[in-house]
Amino acid sequence: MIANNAQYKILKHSGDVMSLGRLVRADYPAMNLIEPDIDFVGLARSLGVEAHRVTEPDALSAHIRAAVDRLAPILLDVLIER
Amino acid sequence: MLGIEALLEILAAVRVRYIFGNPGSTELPLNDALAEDARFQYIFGLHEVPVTAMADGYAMASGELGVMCVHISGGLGNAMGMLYNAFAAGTPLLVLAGQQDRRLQVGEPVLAGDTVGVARPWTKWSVEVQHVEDVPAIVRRAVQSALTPPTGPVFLSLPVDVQLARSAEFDLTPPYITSPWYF
Repeated sequence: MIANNAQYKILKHSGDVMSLGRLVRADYPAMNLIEPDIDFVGLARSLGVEAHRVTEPDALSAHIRAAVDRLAPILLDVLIER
Repeated sequence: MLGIEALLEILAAVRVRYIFGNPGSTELPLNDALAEDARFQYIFGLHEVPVTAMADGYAMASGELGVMCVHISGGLGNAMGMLYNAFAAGTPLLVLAGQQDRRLQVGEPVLAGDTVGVARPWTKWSVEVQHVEDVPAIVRRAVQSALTPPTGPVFLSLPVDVQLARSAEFDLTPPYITSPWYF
């Protein structure tokens, strides 16, 4: 399961803690993973792994339940706050 | 001037334009310095295998020094197969990696490790910078070693505290490059 925020948020946070102002002014180069948005579902399927993108909180439980019951790998690309 | 800015001054003096890398917390001072330095373009990759292969290929195709930066122990570990290729090919490649702040190392922080020892077998020179005033001399020697026949990769470990240390006593003399085809 990917908690997908489409960024290196940990690095942005570290840069803020270290007061690295140039990173902030330049909107954190090489830390926004949006050009393009990575198609993790497509990557997984290309290797024969079942995959789903989960965009609604209410859909998550059913996806996790199905994954636990499944005797094969599965990838869930779960969008979280950016 | 910060230690990491002194490193960039030496690289600019040999007309380095591209730095390939995958950033991490221990390399953030480099990314911070590059964010407002128009002399360099950071070529971003999400994994160290393609990052190293791109830097290797760029150096071979251009005849220039390849420069790249990986994220401390894990990033260097990921890069090793491609570093072996660069070493076998004799590619002039400067490999940089951050290292944890030395004041924390007694506590064995996550990702800290002997990257200098890991890189040594497949580089011409592998060293960690211990004093910020040594940054220019070490980068000069690294660049000169990489570009002097038989050419090959070199490795520099850059502790975060050295990258961020400030000094007014840097000797920014440009590297002396003897390779006849370089300039």
